[in-house]
Amino acid sequence: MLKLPESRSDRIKVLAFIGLGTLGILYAAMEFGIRPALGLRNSRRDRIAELTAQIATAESKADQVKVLRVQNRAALGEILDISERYVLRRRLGNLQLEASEILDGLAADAGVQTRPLRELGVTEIPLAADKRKRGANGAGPAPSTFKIYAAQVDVVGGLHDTVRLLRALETANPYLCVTAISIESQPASPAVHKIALEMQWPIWSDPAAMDELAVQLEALQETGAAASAAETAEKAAHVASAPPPVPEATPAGGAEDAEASADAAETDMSADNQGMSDE
Amino acid sequence: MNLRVDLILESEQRSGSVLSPKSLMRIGSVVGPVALAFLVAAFVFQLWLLGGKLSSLEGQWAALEPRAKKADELRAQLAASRKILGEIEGWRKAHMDWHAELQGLIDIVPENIQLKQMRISQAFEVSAKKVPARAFVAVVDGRAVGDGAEDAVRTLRMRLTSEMPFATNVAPDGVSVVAYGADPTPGAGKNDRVFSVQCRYRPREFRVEAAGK
Repeated sequence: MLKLPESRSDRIKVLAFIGLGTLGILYAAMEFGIRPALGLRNSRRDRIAELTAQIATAESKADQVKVLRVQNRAALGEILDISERYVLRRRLGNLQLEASEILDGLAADAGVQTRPLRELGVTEIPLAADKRKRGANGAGPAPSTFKIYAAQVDVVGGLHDTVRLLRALETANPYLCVTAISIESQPASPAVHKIALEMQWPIWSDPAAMDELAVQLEALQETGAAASAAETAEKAAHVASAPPPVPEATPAGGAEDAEASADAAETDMSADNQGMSDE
Repeated sequence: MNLRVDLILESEQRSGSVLSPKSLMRIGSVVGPVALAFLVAAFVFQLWLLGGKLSSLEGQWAALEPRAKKADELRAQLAASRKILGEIEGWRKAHMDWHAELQGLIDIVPENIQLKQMRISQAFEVSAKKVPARAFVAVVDGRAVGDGAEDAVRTLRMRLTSEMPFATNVAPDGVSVVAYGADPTPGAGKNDRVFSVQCRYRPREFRVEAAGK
């Protein structure tokens, strides 16, 4: 036991030293022990809260992967289908050949005679181009995916022939637009008018874009198939690892039960697979 | 007279109280450090629990992060695809079925009118919804013969505003007779007339659908 000095002044000095020492120890403990420890605890708590929120968001996002993949596949499939059927394709960079072939085929089907197609050129939708110059929200130019390919053709025939040709053209391609029609009667030949049509087809601004989309679609299909296979395998493994039912009848009955449960498991798996393929 | 006899010495006297400063100090010297040690242990345990939870969450995050990024990537891809779809659908919406219009015109022309010329043209403009649009104008030139020439031209103008498919496609007040006069053709009758009717169509918008449909 600490014995304090007899003298009052010495006792005060000793107590003062003890007080100062205690304060120093408390300060040191606060600075180097308690405060860093509390800081560590708070930073861990903050990080946990942050991670919990991030995980909740990520989980909801991850849940959408399958749906997004399906929607993407559908959208890409639709684009490629439209492109394949209605967007004019280049043949070694030439658009006129393709347009002529389409027009000649439709005119022949409609029983209408036409003169050779004349190319008017490739342009952009002018107002879309103006909009791009401004830039959406100052975010820079938004590239237009499609351009205009314009061509002109003369029809040999009357008004009814023109209607038939227009019907054939517009029914075959609802994305094509007839932008100018000129029909002039000729007194010398009442049955045959002077008829000219101008048409506009959509074409890809970037000819490689369609191929890129096809690659994207293929990648999506492969990923989707792999994901489905993985999921099916996981389910199969889950079914296989389930404890078998305990046989309680005779040995013969037990064998029948085992067979029945195997059948049931197989049915479950095929049902799962069916579900996957439906998805 | 009172007599007081102390049977024990002063130094041998003890306090009768249960709590004395000395005993309190003794108890404090034991309970204080034990409580402190307990607090420290509880704090360390809490830190350990938090550390465990943190590492578990970090593992969970590491597993989820790639899938979340994939979802973001797919969402961006979907938005881009829908933009393309919107653009190409805009082409479909902006086109006009001229075969129906011409067939309609053939059907509504009065018997005493002979069409001589027809010109359809298109220009790009910005619609009221600030969307690029195709604006079509059709001009029909013809000849009306006989006493009922004027009525025939009026009927044609009226039918161009009220009959299908013009009623839905032509702009309100879009039909006007821009020229009407006596037929200057040699041999034409006194009441024969030539006319020119102009049809201004409603703008056909390249309406691009919103990305998140």
